[in-house]
Amino acid sequence: MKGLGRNINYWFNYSLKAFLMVTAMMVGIVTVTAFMDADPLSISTILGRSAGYIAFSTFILIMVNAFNNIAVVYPMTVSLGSTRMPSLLGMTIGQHLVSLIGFAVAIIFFIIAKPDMSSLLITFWPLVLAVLFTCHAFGGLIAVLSAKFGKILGMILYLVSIIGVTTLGVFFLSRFILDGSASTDIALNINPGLMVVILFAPLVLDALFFLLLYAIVRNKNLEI
Amino acid sequence: MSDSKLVCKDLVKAYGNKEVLHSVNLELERGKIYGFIGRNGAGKTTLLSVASGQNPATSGTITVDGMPVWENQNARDRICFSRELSPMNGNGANTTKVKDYLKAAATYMPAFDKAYADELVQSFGLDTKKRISKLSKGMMSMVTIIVALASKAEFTFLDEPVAGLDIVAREKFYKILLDEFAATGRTFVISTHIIEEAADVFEEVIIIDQGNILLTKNTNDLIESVVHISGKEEEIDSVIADRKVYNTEKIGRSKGATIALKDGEEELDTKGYDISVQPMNLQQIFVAMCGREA
Repeated sequence: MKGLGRNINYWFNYSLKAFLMVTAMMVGIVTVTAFMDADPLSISTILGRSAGYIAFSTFILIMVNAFNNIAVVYPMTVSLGSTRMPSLLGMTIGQHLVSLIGFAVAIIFFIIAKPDMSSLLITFWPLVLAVLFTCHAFGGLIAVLSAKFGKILGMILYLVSIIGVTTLGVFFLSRFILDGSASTDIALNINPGLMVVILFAPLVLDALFFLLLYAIVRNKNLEI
Repeated sequence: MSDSKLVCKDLVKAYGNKEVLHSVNLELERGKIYGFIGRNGAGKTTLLSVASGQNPATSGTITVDGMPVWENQNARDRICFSRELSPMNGNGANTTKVKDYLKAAATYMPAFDKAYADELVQSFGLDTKKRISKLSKGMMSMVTIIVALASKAEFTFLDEPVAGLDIVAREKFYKILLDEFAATGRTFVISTHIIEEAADVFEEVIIIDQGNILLTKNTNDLIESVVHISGKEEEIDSVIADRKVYNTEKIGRSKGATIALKDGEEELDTKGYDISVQPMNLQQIFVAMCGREA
């Protein structure tokens, strides 16, 4: 399937470029704010702070790109000669790979900055992956609705999703971390069956939205 | 390769309940430059987008050498439809840089000639670091021309390639096009509203009106086979009675008509009447066919 190879090449590079730009910007902001703080500047300070920002910006990029990719880039790839399924597959594969890279970078930064907390990551990694795929599923929903109902609704959904994710993030952050109740016990005590659901539900939703997206755009007239 | 053909058969395209292409039949042969002319909204861009496999047909088939074009990468690799660029896209301003657009074209078009694209960029004096939204209309046309020519696709469609280009750039485009055509024998389909200027370039002309192909004909043959006559109304009516009439107009007690000569007829038989017979250029023929004034 030679069209798929071209698409993975294009979409991966396109998504990676966006990610690298955001990462460079985040590390730059963190470095500047670290300079402004009274704390002694160290690599571990910069990496530690960057890790959170990069993870967060990866989430945001997944959703921003979900709208941008389907509304802007996908029609361009079709106009330049790609068939539709390979372009959608390339888009999905490229986006997922880059988000995994984004998370890997954030985790590596985090482990270097706080080696004593790496055990926490080992415990929580399934949940981290579940969150990542939830974001992809959410991005998929935005893409589906944008493709079906147009860019205005897509934009509204995008804004709602950003507000929702931010609110939920702040809620959980304050509930489980800032009040000191965050513990590895939470993860260890989760029912294994529930853990499987938490892990696979986002994956299934992600795949479902991909199929729905293809069903919508496969015969759609593209305004290029 | 020399017998390659792109064939549209009984092609229908509808947007909702509105049919914009009505059972179109068209055959494009390799090694020709086709001029594709029609009024605004006649269905030119729609036909090109469907024929190139960018958008689906409602019914009918499009094939290249018997291969269906729709969702067939092998067929699509042989066709390039370089669309008019827009400063806006689905997400606001089109912030894609020209160099990124050309890079994407190089990724997706298997025969894309990057060196040739660079040469054309130099020739047109295009700044590839600019964003598409910051380009003038003429510069956007240059980008679509560069993509189309550098694609090296067997069947290359250009939609309004000279829109916004100044006369110097237009002359340059026609020259580059003819050089490329002479060197490769590719098939070009060029839609344009600047008919007379491009008429010499077109080997064949396709005229589309309200979603119907009115004719596909060798340009010189068409020009030689259509004349405009004028004179007294009853005499004109007598002459045109058994002929194909494209258009008539009344001026006081006189009448004018645009008519086709019969096959093999080199000069119009005026039946001895004192009527004026004038040759027509392509633009005049097009206006007579699609003007709908009479």
